[in-house]
Amino acid sequence: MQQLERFTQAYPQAPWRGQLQIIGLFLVVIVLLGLVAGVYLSVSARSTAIGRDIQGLQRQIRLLEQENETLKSVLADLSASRRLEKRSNEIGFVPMQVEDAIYVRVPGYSGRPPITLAPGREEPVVRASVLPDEYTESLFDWLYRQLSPYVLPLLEVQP
Amino acid sequence: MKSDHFWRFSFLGYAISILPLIVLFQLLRIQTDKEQIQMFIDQGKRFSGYYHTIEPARGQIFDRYGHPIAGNKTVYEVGAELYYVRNPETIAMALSVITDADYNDVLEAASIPPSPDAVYVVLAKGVSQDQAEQLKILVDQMQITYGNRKDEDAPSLRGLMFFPYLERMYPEKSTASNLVGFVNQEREGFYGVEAYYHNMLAGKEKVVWLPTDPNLVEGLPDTPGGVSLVLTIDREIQTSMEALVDKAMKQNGAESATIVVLDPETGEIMAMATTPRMDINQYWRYAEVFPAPMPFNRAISQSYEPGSVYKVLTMATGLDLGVITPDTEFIDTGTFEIAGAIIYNWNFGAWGPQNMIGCLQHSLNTCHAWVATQIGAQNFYAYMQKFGLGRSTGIDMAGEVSGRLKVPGDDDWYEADLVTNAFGQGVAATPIQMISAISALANDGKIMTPHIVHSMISDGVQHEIGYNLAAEPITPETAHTITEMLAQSLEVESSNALVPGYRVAGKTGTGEIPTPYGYTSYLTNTSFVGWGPADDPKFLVYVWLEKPTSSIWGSEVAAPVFRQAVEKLVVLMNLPPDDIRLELLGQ
Repeated sequence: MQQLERFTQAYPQAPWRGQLQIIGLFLVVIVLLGLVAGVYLSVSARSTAIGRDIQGLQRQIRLLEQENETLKSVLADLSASRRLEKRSNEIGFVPMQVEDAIYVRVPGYSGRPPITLAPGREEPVVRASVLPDEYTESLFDWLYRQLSPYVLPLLEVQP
Repeated sequence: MKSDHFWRFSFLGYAISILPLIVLFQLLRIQTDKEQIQMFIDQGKRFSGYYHTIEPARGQIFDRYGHPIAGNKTVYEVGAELYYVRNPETIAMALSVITDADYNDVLEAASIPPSPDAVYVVLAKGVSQDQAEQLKILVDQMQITYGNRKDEDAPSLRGLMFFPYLERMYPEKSTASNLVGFVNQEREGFYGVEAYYHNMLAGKEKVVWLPTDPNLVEGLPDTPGGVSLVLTIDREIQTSMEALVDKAMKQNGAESATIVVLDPETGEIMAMATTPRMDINQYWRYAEVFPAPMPFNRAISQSYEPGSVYKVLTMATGLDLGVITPDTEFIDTGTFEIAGAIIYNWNFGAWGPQNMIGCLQHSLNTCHAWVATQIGAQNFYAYMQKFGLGRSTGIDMAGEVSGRLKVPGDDDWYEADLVTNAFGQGVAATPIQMISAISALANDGKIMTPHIVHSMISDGVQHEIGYNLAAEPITPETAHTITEMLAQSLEVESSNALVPGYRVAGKTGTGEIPTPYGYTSYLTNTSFVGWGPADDPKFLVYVWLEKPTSSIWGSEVAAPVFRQAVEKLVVLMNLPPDDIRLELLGQ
């Protein structure tokens, strides 16, 4: 009790102690606010930078799609019939005539089919799980599985 | 002292208090003024982002073996941001030299003074990648060389902008142009496949709002590309048939030439060659190449009186109804009279006793007129309608016309029409209608809807279109009988259409051309229809030469073209001669 009285008496005699506390508290608030602002700025800056990257990538995707189409058109132009015919003539090929043909029977060959550029519509396939039971079952399931070979025969009604 | 300064402090205090009140008032005024609210919202929107149209790449078009027929390439729109333009003359000069743009047009556009309503102007579209690269290099070089000069006359390409976009390209140029059609600068499909499947090929555009604030950026919506098409045509067959129509037209002095090749079993068009053709990359030349009223694709858009090729339908109808057999005898006196109309043969001759094979072999008008009378008008027109005449075939190409088949009850139908129609006069049909109708004779009596698209590729999956039975006008027995009769008639007359090693069935046609004064033109339409191998038809070929000057007869003009077409077809389709084929089948 005496100690408490001494303590409360000391405060009015040393007001700087109270001021120090207020200053300390104020600094803590400032530091906390600074931290929050710093974290916010950091996150915001990163988010903005990533946003910019996304915008750049979106533009790049558009350009690449266009480039892809252009490359396809270049390939198409290079394989155009007039070019192939010109190249064939240059290397000495001549168009085949009816009398030039020699026919042989190729078992299993039923003629040239039209092109398949993409897979056809697939029938829905029921996919079986490839994971062993141990990866998906609960502890009780495991226990049941372990005990069932021994317990179930005992529970069966004998005729 | 105190009273001296009091009013000053009071004034200052009031002034300082009033200022925020004014600001507050202004804020409230703005908040409640609807016009200003909208103006600020608009301004905010204008600068916070922009609308962007995502245009999916137009679907590609391939032939049946995957050779590209239509694709897309990147080209540029070159424009000027008017605020930055320093020297319109330099811009006009550069564009006119590099892109062939008109100097005066570019100068006029680039000289527009910048204003809130005039910010950007398009100077050239469809600029190729190479040209755009040259321009970009020139922009950089000018900036390095003259960038520091402040005088107004300094050459400058400042303000030029480049926007890439996709444009249709056709690597085969004019090959298959008549059946493919084209896409114009506004990305609209015209004619053929491009117009018929435009909505599928073009895909769906999406307009999205793209914020300039990177914090608001979102993923772009999924915009699948247009559907790609695999056609039924074989590029090699198409190319060789086109070479053949060009040659035939030139050799025979014809106004136009058309060849259609069809697989009678499936209705697939294997080739459709006609004249004229154009490089569809230069679609703007359309009016020059096809002056009105010339159709873009004669095979589907031009009907004509086919003449004697029509007789095969009359004969098939008679056989199917049982009113005649191949051995039925007709005594040709050279004329056949009905309802006051006298029918003559093509050579005005009398051929005496003939069976039905002889009627086909000598292409006797009198005989077919007689067969039509045996059939009767009601049956005859019912059959012709079952053959699909008088209405479009439903082929999946834009621009098909339906021809004309007058029937009893029509104001302009007369009894004499029955007999003239029997040999292909007074009836108008397109080559595609004729080949579709006659396909029944080569396919066990069945007509499969003619089609040009084999399959579609959408979302990475290829969907086959399949085949559609359009009609079954005659029985398989009738089809086999008429095929045999036509094969025999060609063999007996040693026709120009015969192909060594291959047995084909076919019929010539020479159609007179009606004028406002009757059949007074000395010119004709010559045709030939044939199919083979006769015992198991794999191809059906229709040849039409319009107004040839070398000869007026189908047997002399169109039949040799059929033979040449078949000689090419059997090689390109890997069809062995009949004896080898039967031998291989027997193994």
